[in-house]
Amino acid sequence: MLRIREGGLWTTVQDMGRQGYYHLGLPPSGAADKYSFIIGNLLLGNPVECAGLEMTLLGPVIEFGKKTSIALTGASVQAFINNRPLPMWEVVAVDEGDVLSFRFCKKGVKSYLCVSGGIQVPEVLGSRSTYVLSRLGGHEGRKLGVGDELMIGEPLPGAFKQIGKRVPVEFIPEWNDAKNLRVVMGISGNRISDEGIKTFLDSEWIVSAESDRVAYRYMGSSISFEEHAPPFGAGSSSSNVVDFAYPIGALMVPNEGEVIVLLNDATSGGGFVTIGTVISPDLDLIAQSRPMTRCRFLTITVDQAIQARMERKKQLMRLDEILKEQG
Amino acid sequence: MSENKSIISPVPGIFYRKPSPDKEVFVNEGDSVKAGDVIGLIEVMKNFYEIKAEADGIVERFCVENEDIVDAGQEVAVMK
Repeated sequence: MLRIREGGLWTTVQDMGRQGYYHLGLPPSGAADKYSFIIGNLLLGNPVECAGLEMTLLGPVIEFGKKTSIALTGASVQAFINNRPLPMWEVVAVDEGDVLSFRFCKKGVKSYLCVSGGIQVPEVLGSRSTYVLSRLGGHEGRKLGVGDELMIGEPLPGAFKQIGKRVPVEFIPEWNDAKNLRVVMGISGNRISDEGIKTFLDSEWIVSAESDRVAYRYMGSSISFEEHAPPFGAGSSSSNVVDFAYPIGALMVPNEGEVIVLLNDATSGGGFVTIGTVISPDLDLIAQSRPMTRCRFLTITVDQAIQARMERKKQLMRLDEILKEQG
Repeated sequence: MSENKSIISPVPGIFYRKPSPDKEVFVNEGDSVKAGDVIGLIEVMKNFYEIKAEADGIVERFCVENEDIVDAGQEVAVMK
């Protein structure tokens, strides 16, 4: 069991997400930075679908109710077990009564705590991920608070043999402040003027403070729309199109001064012009970008996007092999 | 003799001295506070984090202005 003594800023149970209901209006949720989350489970030798905790900027204070093994990945945080510094990206043993606490997170946003056997909240529609807006999944469909108790799995056979395994430094992301995000252009990009597309790609964009798991907002430049008469069924603004289903990663242009990228807890459809879609591996980078940091958008083709996804998969498979060879 | 003590924000975001724009400030410089009293808010990623006094004392001064952007680990006030 995990006893929550303090909830931290925004801590939720997440796994790989709830697939197959987006067309019914239910977004996938799931870990915002999949790369870091997956590595947490790989380190422990957990099945990749085991649920963990996603922590935001300020972590919780947690008392462990039994001996198990844990791994902390993601945004770089100062973490402690009973006031002893806890290394990140490494399997560590904890005893019954040990207390995990956090201080500052200086780089990145989301850190992940995985435990051997996973966090055992009930599955809802095939996933343990929390979707706070609909109060669904996770622990009572909400972020964690003082006094919450979460069941955890029995340590898996061989779990304690994993202790000391660690991720080689070349697999650990650097959370730089300036990011390049790869985009497949399209959907309703024809509704943006040529000049607008040029400024979109040439500009540096700044993450706004209102960004969260639903969407990231970017400011700092402007995008002009194409002059046109709105079609039947669309709103009267130049930023409106006839409603359609948004992909996760959709880059919406709700007005000339802002772009919005939809993330895992996003609304599933609507009628804003979308200039393109951020590719899935780079959604992890978005989730780790702090308010007021900068980014640029780069265009790539669908083939290059699929290539990037394959490379990410191969990288994780290579890491899994390295971890299996350790110890 | 009393020692000065910093109050640090553990999260980055926008610092507010009032609970809402039309309300009074939580505390003024020179006010006495008790451990656990809220002295300000940080808004970040659609959350408000309450900055609290860690011990009884007097808020000597604020180190940041209302609505300033602060980083994690930044000093926001000094107590004595």
